[in-house]
Amino acid sequence: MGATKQGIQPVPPANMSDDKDIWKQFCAGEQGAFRELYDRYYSRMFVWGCRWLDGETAFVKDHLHDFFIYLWEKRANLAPEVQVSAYLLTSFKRRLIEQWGKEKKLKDISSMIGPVQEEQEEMEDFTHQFNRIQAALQSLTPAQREVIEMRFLQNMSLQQIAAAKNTSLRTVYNLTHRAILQLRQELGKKNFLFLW
Amino acid sequence: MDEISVEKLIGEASFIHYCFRSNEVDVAYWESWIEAHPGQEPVIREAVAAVKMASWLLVAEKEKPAAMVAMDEWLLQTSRPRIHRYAWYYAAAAVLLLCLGAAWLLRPALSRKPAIAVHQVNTPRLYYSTMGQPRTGFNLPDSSYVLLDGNSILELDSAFGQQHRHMRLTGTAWFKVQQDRHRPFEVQGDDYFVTALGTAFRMTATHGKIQVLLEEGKVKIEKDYQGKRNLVAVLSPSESLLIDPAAPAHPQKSIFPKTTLNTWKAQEIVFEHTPLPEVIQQLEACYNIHITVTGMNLQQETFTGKFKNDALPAVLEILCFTLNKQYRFTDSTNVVIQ
Repeated sequence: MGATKQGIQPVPPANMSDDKDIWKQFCAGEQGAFRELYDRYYSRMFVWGCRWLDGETAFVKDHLHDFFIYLWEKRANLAPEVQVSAYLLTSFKRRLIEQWGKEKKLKDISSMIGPVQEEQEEMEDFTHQFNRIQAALQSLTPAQREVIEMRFLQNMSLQQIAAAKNTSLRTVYNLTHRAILQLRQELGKKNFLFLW
Repeated sequence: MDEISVEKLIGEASFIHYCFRSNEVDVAYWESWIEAHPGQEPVIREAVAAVKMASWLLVAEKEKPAAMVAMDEWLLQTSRPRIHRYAWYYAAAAVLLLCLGAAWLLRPALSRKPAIAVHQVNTPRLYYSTMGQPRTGFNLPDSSYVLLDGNSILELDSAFGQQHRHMRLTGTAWFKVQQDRHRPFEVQGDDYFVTALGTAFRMTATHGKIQVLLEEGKVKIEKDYQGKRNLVAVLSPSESLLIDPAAPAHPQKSIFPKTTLNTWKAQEIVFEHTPLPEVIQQLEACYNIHITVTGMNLQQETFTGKFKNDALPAVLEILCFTLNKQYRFTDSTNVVIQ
């Protein structure tokens, strides 16, 4: 199949410079820019946090909120010229793991944080993976998304989903099948671009 | 199952169970499978990561609207005591003067376009005007519904519906917002921004005064000051906010009775050769009911009629008389026309 280098181009950085402007405005104390930053990075940082704490979603949720408040409060001391996504991901990861260590009274958290030199690569891998999963989920219709949520998040069987949605097993089966097919296609497409 | 791929694995129910460790048999099965196929470990690892990330992302997107509201509320708390009262009033007064000036300058140009409904101005921007016209109801491109009061203007941003849903209002309008968590619905009136997430609200923006009445859901109101947005308030259902730069007090929320908006919506309902689907939609919006029509082709019919503060049965009576149909209430909010 013809995946040329060109196929790899349209990944994300369309809004990178945009991020920089927003960051500067935020450092200058603009609430709107701060809010925009939170809005843009919420899901990505949430998933990033869950990855480090293997799915402690409630803990991640609380600390993501606190982390942004902490950023807002010390905005005057932040460097206005940073690589926004790398800065946010790294500092959130450190803070999150530190808090987790405190909460669980862990003696040594350095093993959880890992060596600094691998960080850049880790974040790049994560961002690629995240973008393609986000794209895959976005390609689902609301009904498909709902069955995927029921299967993934609530671990419901097809029978249980049919009962909850008050429809036939056949309908749920078809819906799930199409949703999974769609996910597979989307993931496969992106996978192909990123890995080869 | 020797040939595996990330895509195949995420389609396997047992594999999903293995990822979340939700079924012992499946966990055991996949653990022994991996032991037997050590070469496939990287693929398995990637598939596990994909399934977990997808589920966390689903959680994140579920949590996000509430998290945004929590953050807004926090910002509101912190920004309040910092406002320097007098400086704020002078600034507001200056902004008001500017707005009045701008409104005065724009006025003759706008009133020269009395024609109703959708205009495509040079720039690809949708423009709705009811200057010299009665109140009109219509759908926006995102299928949100608007009742635009007479002598009002609603201008949609050219990129409406792509990244965001931004528009400007001069006058009064009631919005029934189509839910879309990725594209906030944002109405600008002068320097104020009202942002909604799947709600119904009425907003007025005239001569620097802004009033918002929230019927359902949640909206937040922000003020633009020198390119910076400051949070003014977050409203809950039945709360209203009046921002009057001429008034001496800081804008305060107040509670309004449920009937206020219903009365307002029924004040003026005008149809002129209006296609029946639009008539039905407007009546549903104005009286908070659901109408089912059976046994006729809606698209082919139009209706002309004027109602001022009329009760629902009176309106239905006239509509059905014209269409030569009967109506009946199946319950307090459902009407069947046949």
